[in-house]
Amino acid sequence: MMTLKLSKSIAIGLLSIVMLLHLISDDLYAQSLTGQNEIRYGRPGKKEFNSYDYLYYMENYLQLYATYEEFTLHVRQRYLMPSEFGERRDGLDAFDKIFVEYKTDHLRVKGGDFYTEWGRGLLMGSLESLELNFDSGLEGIMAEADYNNVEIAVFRGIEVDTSSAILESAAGGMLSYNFPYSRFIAGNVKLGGSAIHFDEGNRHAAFDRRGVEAQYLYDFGSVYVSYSTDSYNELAETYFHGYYSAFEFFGRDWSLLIDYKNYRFPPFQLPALQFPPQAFPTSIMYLFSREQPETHYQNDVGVQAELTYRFNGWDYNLNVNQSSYQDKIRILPSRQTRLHPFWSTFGTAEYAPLGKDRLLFQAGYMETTARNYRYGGGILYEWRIDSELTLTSEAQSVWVETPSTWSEEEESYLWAGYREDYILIALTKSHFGTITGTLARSNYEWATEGTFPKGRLKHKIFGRGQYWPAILLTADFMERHQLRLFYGYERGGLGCAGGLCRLIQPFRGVKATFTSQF
Amino acid sequence: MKRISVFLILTLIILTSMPAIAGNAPDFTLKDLKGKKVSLSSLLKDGPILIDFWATWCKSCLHELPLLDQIGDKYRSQGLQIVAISTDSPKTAAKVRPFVKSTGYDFIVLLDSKQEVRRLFGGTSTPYTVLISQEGEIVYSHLGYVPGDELKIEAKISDLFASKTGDSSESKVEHGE
Repeated sequence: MMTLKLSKSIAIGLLSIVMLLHLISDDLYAQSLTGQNEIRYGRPGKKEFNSYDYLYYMENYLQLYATYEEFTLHVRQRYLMPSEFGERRDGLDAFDKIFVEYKTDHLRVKGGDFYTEWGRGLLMGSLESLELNFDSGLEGIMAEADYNNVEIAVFRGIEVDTSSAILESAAGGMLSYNFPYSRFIAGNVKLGGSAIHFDEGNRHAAFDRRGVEAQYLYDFGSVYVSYSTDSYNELAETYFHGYYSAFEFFGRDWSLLIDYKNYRFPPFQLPALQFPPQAFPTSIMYLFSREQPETHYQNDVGVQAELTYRFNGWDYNLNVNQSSYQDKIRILPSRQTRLHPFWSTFGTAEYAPLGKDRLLFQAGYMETTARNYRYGGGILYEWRIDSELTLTSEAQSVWVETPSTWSEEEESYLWAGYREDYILIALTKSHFGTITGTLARSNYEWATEGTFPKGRLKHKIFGRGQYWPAILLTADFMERHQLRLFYGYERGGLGCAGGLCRLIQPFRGVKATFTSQF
Repeated sequence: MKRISVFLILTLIILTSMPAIAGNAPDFTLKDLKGKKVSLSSLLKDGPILIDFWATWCKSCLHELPLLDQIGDKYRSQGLQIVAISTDSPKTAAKVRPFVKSTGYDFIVLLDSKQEVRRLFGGTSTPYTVLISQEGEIVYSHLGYVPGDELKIEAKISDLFASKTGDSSESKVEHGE
């Protein structure tokens, strides 16, 4: 009964807000009014899960932005009953995000909830992903100003995570200078430095972070370097560091990117207000993306090279990357550094002439810290039946090897293997909707002692498997609304968006998402 | 279930019956690939703008971009500008410049690593396309991309220019009278 009352009050509240905004949007006050609303609903099959309540969710996000002259007001209403990810709380968070921003050509001041990022996230990084319900935002005040070639940014705030529990407060500043374009170096250079003080929080003692960054943009590429170091006031000998660099080269129809990272971070969760580059690809295939190449995040040294090349209508992409563990921070790994490298290689070849059928081949190899060795490939064909109707079909297959048991006789691990498959068929009508059917399959079984013969890939490659069928409907309404309706089995695994990943629980049942833009 | 239904039905009725409350596009300032600041208001001085929010890791974005580039070529002489706003976070930001430079796209590329501008325009994910008239009015927005969407986008652009021509001929008549 209480929930019913809450539901009504939320709907009435929503209606009141919308009516109010209707009034002020009639050019009386606000020059522009934009926003969006998203309803997420999930209902699992009761018979499938003991933890039924854990998988059920219902949440609503309403976000609005009103702008007048140099001022912007943002409010967000968030209603969880409970949420899909994160802390599964029930109830109304009224306005869980709110800020007022004043902005001119050279000055920007924001009070309330804000996010900021310096040094590609290594020196300072706070962000939110609604897709994954990740939030490392701050509440407080921030200001950014630039004059000629000098840029200054300062902030003071309290960190708030997804569960709205106060973690710590922080204050800091960043100063950078852009050297104008010089013919002598055929480019321009930017140099910057930052300092942040973190107060004592739930996770750690107070500490200071200092960082520097440099960027050289030239006519056929760029070089970027950033370095940060954390020193704990009460633990004078404990230091944490991060070094990241990226080298870009490009020409007509090709590009080469080389990333290098060298991180030594605190051995608990993520470092405070830091979101450094990962230097490995997020995914190219479903069967790879649901299990990312893991890294030794706390003590990690890694390199990534990505080459793209266009030839004769085909686009080629090759990515090779490695992540290794190290005991001590060094800008370059040395022989004294203990390395346990994990490699990944991904490649695609795509033929997609404008407005015509599309053909995609993809293949990859991936090692993980869990000692899974995955290699496989896939093919996708997109048939444009007419200008608005498209039929897409895709098939993927991945072989996995993993050490199962230790053999005293052989003095080595016995290897187990299994295979995973994925099939997708989708019919799409532009600006109307899509119907997609998917089928995932795996014959993975836990290895028990003595059940696997020695040798690689001799077992379970063609055995009986477990299946995850699903159907997804999407429909567009009135150009501003979109409905997504899922029914079936979701296998679970990692869900990633923009380099940020979250473990998705296996699920069977119905999921619905309704998104509206204003 | 009845409780959920009440909430869902009420909310859906409100949302779907609501007219578009957005009129003018909110102004924003972002940096381009060379670090130079670019504002929406400065771009609108030259003509209408088609904004596409994209990311290097978003496959459907990468399929839409060449089509938008082609639309840009077709309508550039009439003043249309294509603005591709990358929403890559720092984790993948290094891939933006090599990708754009190697593909040789003619459109303006801006960086929105915190996705603030995308949210300002009501976008929940990528790709997200917004068409803005020279007067600064949002005339069309669309979330996602499937093959064929480019035809609708082009039709909206064509309508925009047609209405502009109509307006100018009407004003000519008025002036003539």
